Amino acid sequence: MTDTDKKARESLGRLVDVLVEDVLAASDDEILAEFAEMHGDLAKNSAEMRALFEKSVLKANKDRLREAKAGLAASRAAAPPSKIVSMENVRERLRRTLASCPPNVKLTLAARNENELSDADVLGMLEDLEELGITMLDDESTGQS
Amino acid sequence: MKADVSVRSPDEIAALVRALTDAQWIRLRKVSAYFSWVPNLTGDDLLQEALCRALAGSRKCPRDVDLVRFLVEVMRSVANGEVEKLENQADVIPVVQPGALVDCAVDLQDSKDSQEEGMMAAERDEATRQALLGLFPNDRQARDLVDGILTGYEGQELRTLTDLDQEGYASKRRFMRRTIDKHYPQGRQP
Repeated sequence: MTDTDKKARESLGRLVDVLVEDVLAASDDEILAEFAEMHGDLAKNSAEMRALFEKSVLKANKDRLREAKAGLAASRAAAPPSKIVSMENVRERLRRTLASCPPNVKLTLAARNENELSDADVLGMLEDLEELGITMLDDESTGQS
Repeated sequence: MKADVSVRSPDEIAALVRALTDAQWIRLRKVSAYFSWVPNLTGDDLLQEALCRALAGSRKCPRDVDLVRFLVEVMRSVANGEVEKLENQADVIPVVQPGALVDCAVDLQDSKDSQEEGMMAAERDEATRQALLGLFPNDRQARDLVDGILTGYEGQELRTLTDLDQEGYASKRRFMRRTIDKHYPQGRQP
């Protein structure tokens, strides 16, 4: 857009402002008479405008739904990473889980002393137990420290 | 969270819109048509966008403001936003280098008017002005009024320019609007 275009728009904008104020200031009778003289059917105009409004309602609802979906997707994408816990608690959790799990599982998994396991082994073992459906609530959930 | 009671809820706005009278709908349609001149949108698109914003709550309608006046101001804001978009749009021209593989490169065009563009824009501006003034071939006061408004005169300055008293000035303004409405119906642009 050129500077001259901008000036032309501003100039036309000033005329628009005057016309708008004039329409708002005119009486209902004046507005209705003018419209009837120029376009005829008053009811048709109102019906068209009401139809436009109902379309706007649908559009606004669709926009709201789309925004809600986008918001949900964004909140899922920005979900906080899994809780960071101390390895001491994790080891304790493994010990308690092993103590409560069925003997055949205990035999398979508890071949080594938990103290000899690396952190990765401990986490891996808890994951394996969870896959087997053997889980124990963590410390915060159980209220234990 | 507590709802803001100083503004109308979307449901209240919808109920008020559904109850608008014939005269109010005509006002909204006329105003949407005027506002559509500047950003070159259709009046109905502009009105629909204003209604959507009011219903979505992105534009808050204070309880003490007349609904028609509120929708008019939303349309004004939408139209101004469109104009700003146009003004801030950087003109680009494609760069086509012989033998170049990239076909999507663009080059920013100098935002200052070239002499030729400036002349063309000035011609368009003058043509619009003449078209509007030409609606009143035998009415010097109406021509002065239109010309004064386009130039940026207001209130008392316009009355002085047209040499009209308060009543005559109001009547001339009405005549100007009706004449423009007749020649540019349903949002046709001057």
